[in-house]
Formats: sequence, structure tokens, C-alpha cells
Amino acid sequence: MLGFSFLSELSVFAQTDIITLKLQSANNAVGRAFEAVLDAEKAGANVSQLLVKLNTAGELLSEAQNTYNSKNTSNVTAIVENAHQIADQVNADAINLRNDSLIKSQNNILFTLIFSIVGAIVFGILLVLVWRKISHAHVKKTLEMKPEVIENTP
Amino acid sequence: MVGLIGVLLFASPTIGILVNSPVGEQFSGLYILGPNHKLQDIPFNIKVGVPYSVYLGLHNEMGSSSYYTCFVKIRNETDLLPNATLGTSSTVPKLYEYNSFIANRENWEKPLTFQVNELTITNGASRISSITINGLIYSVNKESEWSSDKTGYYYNLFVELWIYNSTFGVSQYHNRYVNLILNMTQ
Repeated sequence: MLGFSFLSELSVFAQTDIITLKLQSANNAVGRAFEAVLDAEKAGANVSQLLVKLNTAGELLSEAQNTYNSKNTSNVTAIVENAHQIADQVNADAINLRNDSLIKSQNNILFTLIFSIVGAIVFGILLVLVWRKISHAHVKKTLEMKPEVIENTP
Repeated sequence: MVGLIGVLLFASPTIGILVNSPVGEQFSGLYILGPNHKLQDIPFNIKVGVPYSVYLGLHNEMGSSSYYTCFVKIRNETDLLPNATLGTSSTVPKLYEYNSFIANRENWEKPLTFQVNELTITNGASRISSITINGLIYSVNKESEWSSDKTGYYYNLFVELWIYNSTFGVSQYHNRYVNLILNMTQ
């Protein structure tokens, strides 16, 4: 009887340690997922859907932690594993989204740069052509002018 | 002159990408509202076995999405509150927590329901030994002496705001808390 009680207590301690480790691991996974989402956001991606999923993972994680804090270990493992799984999925999705956004962002910068350079060159050429035309017309007009003699009247 | 204006006109999209616009003041807001989402009817006189509800709210103005954790704690008048000058959290153990991920300039709000389950009053001191928060029962052992100037047994249910620091990969106390003053009656 005493042996059974001792084994039972050992089993409870072992279960508690496992849950603590799982909670810590899920906590780290959620943190990593958030960092990946933040990187995707900085790269210019729309992360609203990822934030919704991350909130689901965060709520599950807090549910597991709160249940565990109330000395109740039932379902905690299942909840925390679910939170971990969602966080890993968000992490993977955020990395893909970040890579896509970086490519789009680079293309956008390249396009803008080309637009600025080509636009400025074309504008400069047009400006020179217009200036030359106006200048040419002005010279021609001046050359075609007839001298007029004006008598001085006393 | 016309040439310069034209070149600047075409270069403006590139300048817009290269030059970062200035970032405004960064802050987070933490608040508690009554059961009707207003500042009214915030519970103060608390009876044993009666559930009370408030709303806990957050506003993110940090310039990017933020990962917040709110820790709910209970203290008596001798336990220390968070230190605003040092920016340190209270040493009182947490009972309940909320995790939230909020986009910049967005709000978050969740109900916070609590009920004191067990209160004993002996020799001019009261002791809370059990409290329910959002349906979960927590064992606590908080004693509060009779306050003759305020005529009651006073406790605080307070919420600390923590924010995830992505540089260090840890949650840190964000130097904000909200405090519910509870006057325990039987």
C-alpha cells in the first residue's frame, strides 16, 4: 500500500515535470512564431490572418497555463500540444510570406528605381529638344527681321 | 529650374522608398471597464460567492504588431505593487494570464470574471483562501487586517502588462498595471 502510494506520487511529479516542459516548449514556439510574423510584417506582408491564428495559439497556451496554475492537469497536455502545433504552422507560414514579400518588395524597388531613372532621362531629353526647338525658332525669327530706320526728329 | 523640378518629380518615388518617415510616440494602453464597457459599476464592495465582471482592454500604439501578456494577481495591503520608478513587476505570484497579439493601432478586450469563494474573519483580520477567475478555482492565502481609517478589509486584484521583446526573445514587464480595489464584506 505504501509502495503504491509512493509510486503514485512519483507518477504525479513526473507528469507535472512533463507538463511544465511542454508549456515551456509551447511558449518558446509561440515566441518564435511571433518573431517570424514580425519579420513578415517588416518585409511589408499583410499579417492579419497570421495574427488571428497566433491569437488562437496564444489563447490555448494561456488556457493550458491557467488550468495548470489551478492545480488541474486534465486536458492540459492536449491543449498545450494544440497550441504548439498552431504556433509551428504560423511560423512556417510567416517565413513563406516573408520570403514572398521580400521578392515583391525587391521587384517594387527595382521598378521604382527604373521608373525614376528612365523618367528623369526622358524628361531631360525632351527638355533639351524643346529648348533647342524654341531656341532655333527664336534665332530664325531674329534673323528674318528687317532692319528699320527711324529718323530722328528735332 | 524646370529640369530640376522634373528630375525631383521622377525621383520622388525612389526617395519615398529610401527615406523612412518619422515614427510617432510608441506606447501601449491598458484599461479596465465595468460590466457595461463603461467606467461605471466597477466592483468595489465584494461579497463571498458573488461573481463580478469587468472588461480588460489593451491598445497597441507601438508602431508594429505586439505580443502582450497580462498577469492577474491578488495582493493585500502589505504586498508590494509594481514599482513604476524602477519599472519592476510585483513579486506577488500570478494567478491567471491572458496572451494577445495585437496589430498596430488595434484594440483587444476580454472579460475578467472573479468570485471570492472562501473568506474567514477572525481577530480583526480576514483571509481569502479561494478565488475563482474566469471559471478556474485558485487556492490563495491572503490575509488583510481591518483598516480602521477606511473601515474595511482591503485587497487588490491587479493586472500587470508584459510585452514580448523580440530582440531578446523574452517577455518583459511593460511598466503598466491596472488595479481593482476590493473591500471584502461577508
